[in-house]
Amino acid sequence: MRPTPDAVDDYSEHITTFMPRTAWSAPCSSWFKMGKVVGPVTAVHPGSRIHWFHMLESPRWEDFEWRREHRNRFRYLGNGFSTKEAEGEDATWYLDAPDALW
Amino acid sequence: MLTGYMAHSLNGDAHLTKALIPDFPVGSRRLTPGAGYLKSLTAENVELVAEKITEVFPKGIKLADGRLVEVDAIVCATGFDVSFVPRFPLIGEYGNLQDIWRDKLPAAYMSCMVPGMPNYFSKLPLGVLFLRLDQTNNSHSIPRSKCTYRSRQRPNHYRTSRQIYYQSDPEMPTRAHNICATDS
Repeated sequence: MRPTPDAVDDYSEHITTFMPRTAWSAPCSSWFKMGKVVGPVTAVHPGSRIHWFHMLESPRWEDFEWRREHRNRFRYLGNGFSTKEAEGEDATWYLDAPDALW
Repeated sequence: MLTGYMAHSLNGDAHLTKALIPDFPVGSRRLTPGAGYLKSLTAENVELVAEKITEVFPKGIKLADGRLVEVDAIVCATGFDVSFVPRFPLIGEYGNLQDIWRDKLPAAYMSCMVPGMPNYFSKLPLGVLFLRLDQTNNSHSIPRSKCTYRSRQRPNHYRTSRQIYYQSDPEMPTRAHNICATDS
């Protein structure tokens, strides 16, 4: 898997647009700007710490190109049984915990 | 407020405040958090020299104003490589990342992946962009574990199929079992 070039470009464009409004862009040499006094801010997330958590919580799968190991994408469906039906497993867990999916 | 705090910590010393209180906005460079650091500069046995160094001679250092400072030892702290160029060759679809990031503005995807580097997930200290060092924690690992999980197992329907297993192919039960282990 790899991020598509246009997703990377869009992300870079957002950062380039966002950063000038921040203190990180102010003229002083710092590693935020790769050691330059004036330059693009490359080292930090364009937002707050919590904002960054939220961004990473939900991967944008549509931004990736995928190459499959096997030709048929549904190969994993296998023989049609669930692990819940294996010996020693609880195949009726949903009766006691209707809100629990797995 | 910070200017006042710094001036107070430096006992209002004109030389120290002039040398240490910056003229750029707060946050454009990382703050120095060291408790007692500024205070220590006011101690009697400490001297802060802000003058440029022009020469090092056997007994010490010569300053731009001609003054000679005799010292026992010199510790260099003149900076470090703040680029994101990897410390070793990293060859991807577009060539060596060392060359690409040295020549161009480094670009990455959401602080965890690099274009042209399939299945390469980065975390400190290698070529990590847009990642705040003080914020590194397990949260940053979440998408990566999801991605590796997904790319290893199957590219589709991460959520809907994690309990599926058993396959006539002998390699599948083991792999499918991992699916469940990952999600437990």
